[in-house]
Amino acid sequence: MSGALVNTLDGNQFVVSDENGDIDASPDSPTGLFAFDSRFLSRWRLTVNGQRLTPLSVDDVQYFVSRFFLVPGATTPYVDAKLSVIRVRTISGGFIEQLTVLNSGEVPVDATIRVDAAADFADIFAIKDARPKRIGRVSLWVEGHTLRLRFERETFRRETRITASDEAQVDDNGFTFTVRLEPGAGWTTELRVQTLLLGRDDQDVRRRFVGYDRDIRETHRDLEAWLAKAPRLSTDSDALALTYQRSLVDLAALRFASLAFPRDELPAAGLPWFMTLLGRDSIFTSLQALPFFPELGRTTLCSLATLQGSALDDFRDEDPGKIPHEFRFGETAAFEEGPYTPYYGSADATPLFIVLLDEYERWTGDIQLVRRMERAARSALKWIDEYADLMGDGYVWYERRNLTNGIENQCWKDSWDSISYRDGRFPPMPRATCELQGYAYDAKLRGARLARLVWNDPTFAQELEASAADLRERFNRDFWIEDGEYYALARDPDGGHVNALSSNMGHLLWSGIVDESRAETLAHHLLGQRLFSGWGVRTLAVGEKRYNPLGYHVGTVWPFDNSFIAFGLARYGFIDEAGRIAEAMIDAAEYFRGRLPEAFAGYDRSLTKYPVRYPTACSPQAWSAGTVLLLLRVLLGLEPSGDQLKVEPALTQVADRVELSGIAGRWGRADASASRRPGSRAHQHRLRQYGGLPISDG
Amino acid sequence: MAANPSMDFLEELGRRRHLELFEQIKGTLRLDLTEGQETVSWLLVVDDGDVGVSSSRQDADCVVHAERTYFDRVVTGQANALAGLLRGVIEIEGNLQLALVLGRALPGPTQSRWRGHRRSRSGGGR
Repeated sequence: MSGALVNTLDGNQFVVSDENGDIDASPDSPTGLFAFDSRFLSRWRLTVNGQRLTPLSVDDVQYFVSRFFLVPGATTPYVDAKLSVIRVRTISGGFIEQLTVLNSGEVPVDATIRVDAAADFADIFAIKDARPKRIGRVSLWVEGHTLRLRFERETFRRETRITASDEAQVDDNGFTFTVRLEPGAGWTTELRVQTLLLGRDDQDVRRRFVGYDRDIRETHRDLEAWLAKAPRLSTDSDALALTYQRSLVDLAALRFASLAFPRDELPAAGLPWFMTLLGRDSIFTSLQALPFFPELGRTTLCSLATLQGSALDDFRDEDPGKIPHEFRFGETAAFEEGPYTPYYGSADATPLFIVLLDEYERWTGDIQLVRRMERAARSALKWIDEYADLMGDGYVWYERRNLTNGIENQCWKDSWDSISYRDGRFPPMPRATCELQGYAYDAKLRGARLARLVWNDPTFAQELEASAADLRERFNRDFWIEDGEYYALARDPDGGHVNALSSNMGHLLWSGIVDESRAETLAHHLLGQRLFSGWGVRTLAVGEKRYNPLGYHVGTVWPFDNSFIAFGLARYGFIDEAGRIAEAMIDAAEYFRGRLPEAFAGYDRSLTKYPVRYPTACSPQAWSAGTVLLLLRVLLGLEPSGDQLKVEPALTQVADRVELSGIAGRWGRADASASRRPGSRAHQHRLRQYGGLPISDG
Repeated sequence: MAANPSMDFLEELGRRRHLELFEQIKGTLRLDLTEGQETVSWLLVVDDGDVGVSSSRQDADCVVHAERTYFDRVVTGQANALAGLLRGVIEIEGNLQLALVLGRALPGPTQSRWRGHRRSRSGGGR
């Protein structure tokens, strides 16, 4: 493998290849052509006259198009290739690869061009866990100019169909083309690869989906329409502009129509491991994107409500009213070797569902949807008091009932070692992390607003408000660590503090559960040396036993986390602090060419002149792409106020001028702009609202 | 008469007449349950919470097909319908949303480790 991998994607269908475009997958490497959590190509290797190819340059023209310029043989200091190859790869409905071989020499050349193909149909979980495949059978046969590879395990059937042009010789392992190239001439062919989820009638079960089998022109048009819908940004900061553009495109790339919701498009969480519906990720992404793409919020709410828990199912960690965590479509899910149809192992998605529903209404005024969601919302609110309160003390707790492959930590920091005491010990179960209490508090207040405004139930609203006030009071008493002056990461089942200093407190500011008198202390912690690296707020503070700058949830910096921390700081009036986080994020984004990854290392900025990559970070990642959107909201101070949009800018070193035009919402459209003299604290801002249809349900 | 959990489930659904879960939903769903050569069809008519169940082969917005023995396992909480859909043992045509709503009316597994609040458990449990 030559190092960097190249991604080409469209929703949850994607190719990950080496830099020369080849796929040579091992059982544990995430290279290949994937769709719906199965690998449909594990080998895709191009040779010219028996020689592998070396990349001169790779272009990702669009997320769904990659172009490789290649020469046969290994690179030597002096490349004198007479033959060169252009490989153009497109994912748009299906997977299409166009090969062009050019002869720049002065004599004719006879060339044998070979594409080796194979499919292991590995499930994404098997690859992640490096589990070899044992059950099921792959058969292959040639039909005309088509090579068909089919996987069958009982009634579970997946097929890869590769079709070449007439001139190909097709065998069980691939395609051979024998061509004669005159001097200065070129030769081109096209290979089409279809990924099929076969139903009983031998037809693809996705055939009635949005975007199924759409061609490249439609994909282009669709991207253009998506970008045209987005507000336009004008700013003096090149880094901000670059990150904004990249994020809009990445969010477009990650949209997919799932099996469960064939007509709507949802953001998939992240490439390559999470190209599916994740409740928490979809909600956070939709919240970040509300001023930009409010319809993502709507689809997310509808999709999650349809899959809301209805029974007690230990395998799936499902309770009535619980919002799902993860839906998968591959073999592991189909044979119930994993609990993914769907899995419910997150304690935050349910309160966050209410938060999104309310915030969506505040932006769009779409009362119809809130009305339609009443039953779902009520049972989500009931879940918070009934099923999440495992200790009967009024807090949201989690403890998995699936002890085999359920998730231990059912909060956003969902790795096994994320929740610990300062000395590194793990608390017993159940656990109540602090941010969950903040989300529950916020959900109750927002639920109350909707009960009064839409559901015509003031009694319920009062109950919720009383319950929220009580939760706030108890929380500020029970979670506050006096000697350190911060909120405990979690409460253990004996009522003790899980006392590590962590970024989770930042989310508490966003939720509004923090006592005003404590907010300043919290801001100092978040921007202090132990938590703030200079590139952002670390997940866990330096000095804690489990701190590791390369630890997934115990020391790395997560852009999405930082965006909500900045939002929270701004909510409590800590504008400069919010601005410092925004600045750090945009600085970091510039090093990633505008694409913030899922996470990066927590090393101090004085130690590394650039943010250090986290080795297996997903990229693109939906809520990392959403980060700059929420930061723009913070910088401009955008807030719906009745039927108006409010602007209270707080520009910092990020930019001296930010103009966002065409912000959709209940006001129709609005343009908001802010500017200041360089270095000055005084802002000028403008807001213009104009017509246009408000967003509505339907 | 041999046990027929699928029939029991559907008849019980019909007897309940109104399900909160089906509120704000309107549409028809047909279940084709095969047993050997025979197919028994059930029609569910859902109208804002009201539900009618009858034996009928008429066209519907959503058609679900399964072996009756498999569907028996689904309605008794032993098999998961969505896993069955991915595996190809349950097939759905038309409006999938309706099928998903019906899925949420299924009982789920009969046993759970869930014991309610820790504190109330010591006081006798739920």
